[in-house]
Amino acid sequence: MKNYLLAILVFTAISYSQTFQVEKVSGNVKILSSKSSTWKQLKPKMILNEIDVISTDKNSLVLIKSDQISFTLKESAAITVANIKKMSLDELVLALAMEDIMNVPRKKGNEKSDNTGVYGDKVSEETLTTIKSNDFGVKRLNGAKQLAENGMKESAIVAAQEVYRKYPDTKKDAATRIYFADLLFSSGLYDEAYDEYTEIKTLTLTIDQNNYIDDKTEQINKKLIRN
Amino acid sequence: MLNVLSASGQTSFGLNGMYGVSEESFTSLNSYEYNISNYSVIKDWGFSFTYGGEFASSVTSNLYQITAAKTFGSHFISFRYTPGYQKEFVFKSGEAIPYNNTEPINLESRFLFKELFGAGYSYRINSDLSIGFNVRYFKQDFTNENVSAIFSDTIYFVRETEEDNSELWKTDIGLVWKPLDRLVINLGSINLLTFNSEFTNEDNYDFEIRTDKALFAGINYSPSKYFNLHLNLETNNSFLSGLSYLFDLNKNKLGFAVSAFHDTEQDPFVAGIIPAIIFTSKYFDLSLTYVKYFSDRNSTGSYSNFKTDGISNIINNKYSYDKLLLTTNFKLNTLVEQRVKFLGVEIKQNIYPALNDKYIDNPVATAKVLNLTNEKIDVKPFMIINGISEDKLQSPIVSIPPYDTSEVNYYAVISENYTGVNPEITYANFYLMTVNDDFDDEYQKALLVNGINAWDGNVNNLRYFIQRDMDFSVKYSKSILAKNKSEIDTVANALSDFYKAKIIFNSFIENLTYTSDPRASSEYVQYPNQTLELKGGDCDDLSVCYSSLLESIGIETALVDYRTNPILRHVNIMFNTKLTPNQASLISGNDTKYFIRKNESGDDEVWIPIEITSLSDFESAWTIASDKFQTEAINNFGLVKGDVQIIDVY
Repeated sequence: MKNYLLAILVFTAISYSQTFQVEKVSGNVKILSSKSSTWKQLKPKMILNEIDVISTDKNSLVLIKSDQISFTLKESAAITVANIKKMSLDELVLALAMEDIMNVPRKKGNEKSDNTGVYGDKVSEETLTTIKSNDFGVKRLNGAKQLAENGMKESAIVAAQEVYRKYPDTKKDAATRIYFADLLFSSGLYDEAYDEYTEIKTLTLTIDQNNYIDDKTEQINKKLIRN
Repeated sequence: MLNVLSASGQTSFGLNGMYGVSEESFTSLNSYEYNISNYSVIKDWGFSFTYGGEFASSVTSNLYQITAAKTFGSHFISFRYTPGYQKEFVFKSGEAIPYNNTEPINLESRFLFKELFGAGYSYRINSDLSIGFNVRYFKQDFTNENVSAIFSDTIYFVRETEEDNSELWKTDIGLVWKPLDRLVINLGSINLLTFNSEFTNEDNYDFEIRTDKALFAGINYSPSKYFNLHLNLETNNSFLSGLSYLFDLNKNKLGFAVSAFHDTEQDPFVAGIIPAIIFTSKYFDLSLTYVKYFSDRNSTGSYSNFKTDGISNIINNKYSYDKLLLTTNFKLNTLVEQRVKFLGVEIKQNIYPALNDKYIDNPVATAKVLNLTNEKIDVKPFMIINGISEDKLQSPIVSIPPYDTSEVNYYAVISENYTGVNPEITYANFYLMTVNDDFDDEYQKALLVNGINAWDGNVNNLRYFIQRDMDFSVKYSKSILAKNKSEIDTVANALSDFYKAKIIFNSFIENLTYTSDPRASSEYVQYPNQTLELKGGDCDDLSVCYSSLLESIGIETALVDYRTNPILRHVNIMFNTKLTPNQASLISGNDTKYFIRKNESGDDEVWIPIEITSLSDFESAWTIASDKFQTEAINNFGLVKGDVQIIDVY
């Protein structure tokens, strides 16, 4: 159960609702609110909802502030406002547990068939053009990195996990994954870091990356044996 | 007042070789001698026969006794006919008379003692205490030959026979008490009440059976299940002691018994020994008993001693011969032998007919059941709920060790045809069946059966409402899709489920309004056809309806239970678009509006939540639901904290 049970026990209700206001906008910065399906230009003094997503283009940035946090989203990055928060290690563990809950495979035995016969669904091979959403995933990962750079390491890990689920192609970028695996390592979440390093090891890596991961996994092994 | 003397000889002497009174001592069936209270171990009918031979100067064989017995609940009666319980004494007078110029003839006196029959009754007060009595009938026929002189032309002598007889009734009472599992105390009177008719000749009183009063105490101790020690004491100082041991022989038992006895009227101190071989089975018992006296039994006794001492016991006295006896008991059981019984039944849950499948896995009731036998028993539980089920439904068989108690669960299947709208108190009949054709025990208990729309408040169980009305939902969904066939045909296959869900939503929602539960006291959930017919419902009804419509066309759904507010909970649904995360941007560029769940193969699929109570268009319902899910389930860790739960319908 890793550290999840302990984290649930010590967790106390925390309200994450905090209001961010746009302080400064430079370049092309956009906002996507949940109630709108189109991106809009972000302007100073705008109040941000926690489900809003903000995105910066190249050579752009935005400074937003709440009572406790001042955060700059630099160029070529995107982030959900709700991710901009300081989290404790326990809260991080909870967030990772939630990822596991979402990931639990549903029970087998659902053998229902689609009603292809009646409504004439196409049975022929159909290749749907997948929209290349990977770019936005990369932007989101950049946003997550900037959370870490602003001292919100735990929130960065959570944001990155979400990006990897929703934009699976971004998982092929070994360097970025190593970056977030290192965050897990530095947070003392060795089990989780080990799993991540092991998965990264299956990607195409440079020799240096390979050696680095071997070194990290060995360090984790030693730590786990010691514990 | 009972006048207890110590003049008579031993009376507590049976003919079967086993003298203990216990569950194993079947011989007590025919032995009023030491089973004074008529204690019974048979379940229904019992018949006993004893045939034997006496080793006098010549061997004589005889039918000693026939007994019939019957148990009626706690009552037990027996009747014993004893043609072989008799003893005749013949004394030559020593006077010889000439008779018709032939050889002189010796005169004789004959004393014939017979016990003809007896009857017993006992009442079992509880499993540890039984009381009863027996009545026995004796007959004493005495014959004395005399010579009368006839004076005529000459004197001649005529031999005359004087017959005299007396009837004797004896009644005794007793009890059998079991203070411990392995200890049985057997107490009784000896000659408590006696009634006898008078002899014509007063001299014959000297020879009648002695009926001095005494008390009897038997102690039966079993160090192990089939090992039995017994000691029978009489206040006249006679006693009998011995042991018996039975070996398990499959389901039967084979063993031996040996007893020795001391009789104040007999010599030596240990007057004799009684070894026996015993076989007992479910339907019959056998015992082969040998009675061996240690003193010489072929010597001639004197008339004067006989007159002085008399006898106290017809079958055991100082004139008795060695005997070999074969006793057979038959146990006929015409009753259904109850092998298990209810100690109680606890209703585990009231019935919600909508949740029909639930009662297949979760017991409606649990009974405590006692195995009354010394064997492991497989119990078949049956239950019928009046008004709900027409036939007795069998639940899984439960094995119960000997004399042990086990919990037996009763499961139910609620008929899909049940249409009761209002809650009602009904009765559930519980049954236990073992090897018999009939039930061993029955139990009835009241049960609340809710109406067909009642819901127990557990969101997990809403799926029963979704699944139940599937035929209707299939027709309804297909009719909507048929009307929008052209639009669906233009949609890429991967987006098929998404668009079908969207079309159905926009079609079915347009005529609905939100209405609260009609009953404040209990949860009430409408079936999809009711929601559409009534054109509205609350969040449960609307979620059930939409989920059922989607499931009916093969779109996976899950209920999302929001528990943040314990007083006012909320339910909406999410469904599986079957899109991969890479395809998610086909339906939304806003990645906060969808969520990724793994399927059974471990592949990620895109799910989107829908808030049906918004009663708006699909896009709005989706946005509202995704905002709520993102905030409460994800951002506030509701999924981990248990404030939000996803419940797959299938």
